[in-house]
Amino acid sequence: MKLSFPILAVSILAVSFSAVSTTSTFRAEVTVQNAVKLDKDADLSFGTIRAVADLSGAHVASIVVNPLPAASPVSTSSSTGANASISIIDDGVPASFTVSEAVKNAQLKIISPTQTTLEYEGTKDDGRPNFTIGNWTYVITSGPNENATYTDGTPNLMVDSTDGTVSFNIGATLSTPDSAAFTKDYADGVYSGDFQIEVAY
Amino acid sequence: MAVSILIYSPNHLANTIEQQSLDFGTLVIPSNSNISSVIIKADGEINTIGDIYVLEKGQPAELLLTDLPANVQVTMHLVNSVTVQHNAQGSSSAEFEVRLNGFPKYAITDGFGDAKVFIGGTLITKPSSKSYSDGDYSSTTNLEISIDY
Repeated sequence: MKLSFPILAVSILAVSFSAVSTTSTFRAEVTVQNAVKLDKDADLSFGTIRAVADLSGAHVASIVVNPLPAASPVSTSSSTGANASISIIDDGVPASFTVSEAVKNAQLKIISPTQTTLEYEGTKDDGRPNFTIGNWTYVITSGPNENATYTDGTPNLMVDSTDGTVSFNIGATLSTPDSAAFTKDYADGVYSGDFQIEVAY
Repeated sequence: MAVSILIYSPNHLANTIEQQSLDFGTLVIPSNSNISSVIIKADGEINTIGDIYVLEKGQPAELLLTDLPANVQVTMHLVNSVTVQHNAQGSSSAEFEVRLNGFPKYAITDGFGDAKVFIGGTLITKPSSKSYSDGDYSSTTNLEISIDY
């Protein structure tokens, strides 16, 4: 006799799909840093000079500090006439700056100083001539455009792609006045001015 | 005949713990004349659109969901928007809008009923005559997360 024991196994797994909700205090944040960090590495110096101003203002003498790092000499002088002269005793030094904390590969622009005169640091005397300063020139000394002259129209101060920095030198032209507003010769001593330069995106 | 039935019916609420805020990093926004945006995906990938630059990278938010059943797959739905304002009191700076995106649709809880999720977002500028002042911007808001499982 053959016996048969049918076994039927039924297994049901029932899971009641549920929905729960929860709330969370959630914070979103961002920091904006549109300003770059600009550090001065060296001041602009026109060196030591012998200067004679034309008190009529007809002739103007000038000295130019070349911003090129390899320039030799750094300073050169010229005059529009015999009544004004600048002679170089000690060479000048271009100013140098380093930009940091900037976006890598960004093209930055330089906004030149607006002040135009260097005044005698000694006792004030309205009859003593000052110097005018202008023709700011820039040479990029690091980054992708190293050794290039900075161009105002198409800013090319390009930030390095690895460390977010770029450096540049500043040169300028110092001139005797072109007016008859002064009555005395230059006094020995230091003539100086404080200038603000701006670098921006 | 053997019949077995397992019915699992959870009746508790999950909790969330913020472990990392949604951080868009440090940005440079030279002008605010056009819409620009920064997108941070849940996996940390960052993209920008428009006149906006990433100075320091941010990161997606990190939330820890707790008190869930162990070893289950949970499904989440979340859409919200947030206005992010300058932290300085009285600032006249422009504002940002933040939209959350990249919220993971699924997460698997561990043996303790916890699941870690990363939330990306999009930071959008609001073009106006106002510029973006340097400084920190933030916003805290309540988000609602529904979990189906």
